[in-house]
Amino acid sequence: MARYLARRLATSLVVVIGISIVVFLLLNAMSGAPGRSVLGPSASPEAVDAFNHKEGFDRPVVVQYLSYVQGLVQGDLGRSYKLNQDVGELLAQNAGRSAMLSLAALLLALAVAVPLGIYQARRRNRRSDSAITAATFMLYASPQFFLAVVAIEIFSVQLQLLPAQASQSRSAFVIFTDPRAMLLPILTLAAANIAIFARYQRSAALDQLGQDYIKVARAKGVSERKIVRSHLLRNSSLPLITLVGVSVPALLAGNLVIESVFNYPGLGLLFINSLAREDYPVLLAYTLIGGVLTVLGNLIGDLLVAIVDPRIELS
Amino acid sequence: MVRAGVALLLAGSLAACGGGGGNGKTPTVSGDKGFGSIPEAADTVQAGGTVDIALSPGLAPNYIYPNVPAVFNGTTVAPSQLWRPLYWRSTGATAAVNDELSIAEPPEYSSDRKTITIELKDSYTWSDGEPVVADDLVFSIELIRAALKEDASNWSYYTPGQFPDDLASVEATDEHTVTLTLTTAYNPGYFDAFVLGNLIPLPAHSWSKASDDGPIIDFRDPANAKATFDYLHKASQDQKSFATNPLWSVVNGPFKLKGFDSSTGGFTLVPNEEYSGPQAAQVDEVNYLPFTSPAAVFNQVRAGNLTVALLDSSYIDQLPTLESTGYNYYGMPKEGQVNSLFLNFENTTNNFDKMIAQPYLRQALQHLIDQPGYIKSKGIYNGAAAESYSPVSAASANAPGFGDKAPYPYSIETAKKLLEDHGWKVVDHGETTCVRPGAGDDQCGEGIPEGQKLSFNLFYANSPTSIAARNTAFIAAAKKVGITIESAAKATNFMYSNYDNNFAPENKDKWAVQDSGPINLGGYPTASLIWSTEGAYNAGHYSSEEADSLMNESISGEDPKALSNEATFLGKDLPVLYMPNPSNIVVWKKTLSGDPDAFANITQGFLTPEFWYYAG
Repeated sequence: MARYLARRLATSLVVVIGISIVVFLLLNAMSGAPGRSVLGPSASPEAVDAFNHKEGFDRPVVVQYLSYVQGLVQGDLGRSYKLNQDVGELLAQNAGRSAMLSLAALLLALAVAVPLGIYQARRRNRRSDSAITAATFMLYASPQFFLAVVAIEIFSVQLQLLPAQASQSRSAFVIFTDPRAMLLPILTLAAANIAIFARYQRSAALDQLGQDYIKVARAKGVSERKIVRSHLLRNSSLPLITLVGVSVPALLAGNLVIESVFNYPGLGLLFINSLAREDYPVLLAYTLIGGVLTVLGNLIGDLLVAIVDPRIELS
Repeated sequence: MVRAGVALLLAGSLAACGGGGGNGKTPTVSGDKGFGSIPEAADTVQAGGTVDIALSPGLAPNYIYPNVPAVFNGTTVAPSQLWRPLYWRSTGATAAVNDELSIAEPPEYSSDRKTITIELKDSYTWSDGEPVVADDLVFSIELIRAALKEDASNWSYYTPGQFPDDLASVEATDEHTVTLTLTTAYNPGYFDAFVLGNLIPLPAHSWSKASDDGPIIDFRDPANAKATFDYLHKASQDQKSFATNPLWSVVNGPFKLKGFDSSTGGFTLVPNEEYSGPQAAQVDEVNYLPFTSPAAVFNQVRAGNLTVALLDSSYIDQLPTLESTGYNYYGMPKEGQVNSLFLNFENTTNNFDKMIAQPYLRQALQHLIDQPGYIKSKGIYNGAAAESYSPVSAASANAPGFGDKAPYPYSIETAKKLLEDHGWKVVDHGETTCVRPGAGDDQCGEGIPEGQKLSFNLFYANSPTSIAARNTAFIAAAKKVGITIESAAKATNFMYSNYDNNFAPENKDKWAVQDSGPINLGGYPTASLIWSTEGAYNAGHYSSEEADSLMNESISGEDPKALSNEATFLGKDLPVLYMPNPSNIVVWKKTLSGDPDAFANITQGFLTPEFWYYAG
């Protein structure tokens, strides 16, 4: 296991370095010297040149990259020239909130989708299965923006039960301190995941229900409850674990619409705004972190699968 | 010089300096182009209360030193409410100087216009009790000079070769009088707007130092001025200390900063108890709240949680609903805004340069733009825009000679006739071609060969949606007279970087027409920088000797009608194809009252919350 982990981590490092080079080159290809975009149409050529010089964009790309890597090694992610803040500080301010929102929505989605999927599988092609399938398809097909606006209109404007925006506290733990304000964003974010996860779970559970070991258990008179808990749940969760592992990067970045509609500034919005502003230090840091999380997510997914299914060997 | 054009929103306004209130009970509006209404000020004032204002999405403040560098233009913390500019260049929805709110008497120009005398009003004091004196203005100018010596992008309003490059001397000739001596003579209208309107006296007695605990140093020494600028600029990068750093607590505006959230840019102002200007703040607190999107702003307005907000024009249909739930609304385009299709006079692809050089062709194209129709259209402006046929609005004191009458009104037939009269065979919905080449009056024009097709490309910004919609309508109209326009949406930043013959000359044959959204020319909208032959931002290299002469007169001449003459010519010569100017829409709770000007000016990017109060 240790050797496996070491090898995976070493491979991951190479992948992350590759990502950093590709992203650096892509940004450079987009606009080698972003002064004109950053300062806008009103900037004089002298001001643009001064900006590009000050930020080092008039140096060769290789020199710029090496300088960036040198900073990275020292733990310096750079400074956002548009937001007037260190990138590390910006990420720290936003990452926790984004992660907590996503995590809460993810856990909620799993808590609902897994039993729902199993329930559907056990009642395959019955009315209840069809009704849930229709409902999950509707959720899946509804744009998140639409769901959010409808939820606000009903629960905030008409019924006035919940706030129209998420908590404005900067704490990452607002879910616990201000749960009422977080309810709509979490529910909206979880809705689409519930639909996806439930479909996966249903499909996997159907596969397992047809397996011999389930038939044997039934023939031996094992109760349905025990079959579900001890056999079906565990074995049908493997595809979902892989899916959740791949979803780890989205914990930070997948909330763009929710952050936008519910006025909940997080990493997703930071990235999009930085893209519009051509704020390269933020874009680079964000993409790198995304790369790291993707690699880690896959690794965690593989490890979890091996833990859940002892037949799988990590080598 | 051409100021934060894209930032129409509240945060942009905060950087641009204040404006507003004080001269009447009915809103001062530019002609009849506004929509909605502003009620008269309530007679009974309920002192205190909190006002919640939406900051513009994506433009939350992150800088505080008020002589703002270009990169932070539009994202500075409420400079006009903390530090008063010399001249307040907004009265309601017009760009007229508001004498009452200016902290200096009107400037006096010598006969050669090279010496300007500025007398500061002696009634103003800093919040620490010290008087606002002439040295404070000299100090501010020396800081600007020091900043620009380091980097040309260090003052947002800097045009190379102009102020302060041509400032021979600046002297405090008595306690409240400053004399500027220039090597260049300017048109007073231009200098007032672009230089004096952007100068902000700063507290020399408190800020003229190089470190937190350092002694007060002589700012007239350039080395000291540089050290002070570096110190203030660095302090402005520590956002967490904005509300606690003693530097920023010395103000002369009606408010002081109570709190600043460095992670969001949201901040709170409270009244400056020592304010000595004409109108003290009447509410207890003004909260500037950060927002992630126009939708989030609207949702909060819809739920009744915001006191004042600028709404995205896509919500214009919702205004009656908001009115019924307790909001007033008012809309008005921003003065001095050019919102047009820019033409590339150097694009040789398919002889576009030869074609667009012909005035009759530009006139024909302008005839194809149905400004009144676009404004009425539900799919384009839905009523929230005004016709625009030059950089200067028809209601301005510098209005063009043709007033609000379109020089080339929408008419497919007229466009068709113009083309046919000049040697083109017009094929409706087909391919119009040149059949009479040559330079004669009834021929296509010099360099345009027989068989030339009238086709070109058009790139437009991918946001807002009204830009795509208006270009779609224009392209459809052009097709009616056999003009083929190939269009594509692009990111605005991409267009800035790639479709400008100054910045990307290698691409000059790649774009013919572009619509990258508005450019704001400010309160004295001479178009010199965008359309003079040597203009730094003349993206398509339009060039006209007469235009150059008129623009030069607007900047350097003494004729007070120079700007009007320039606007008249530019409206007729068509360096661009003019499009309507969209309105900025402000909504505010009906319980909030005050001078109508103090609500109308929000549409122009100026804020005067000291005039607001809750009705008793």
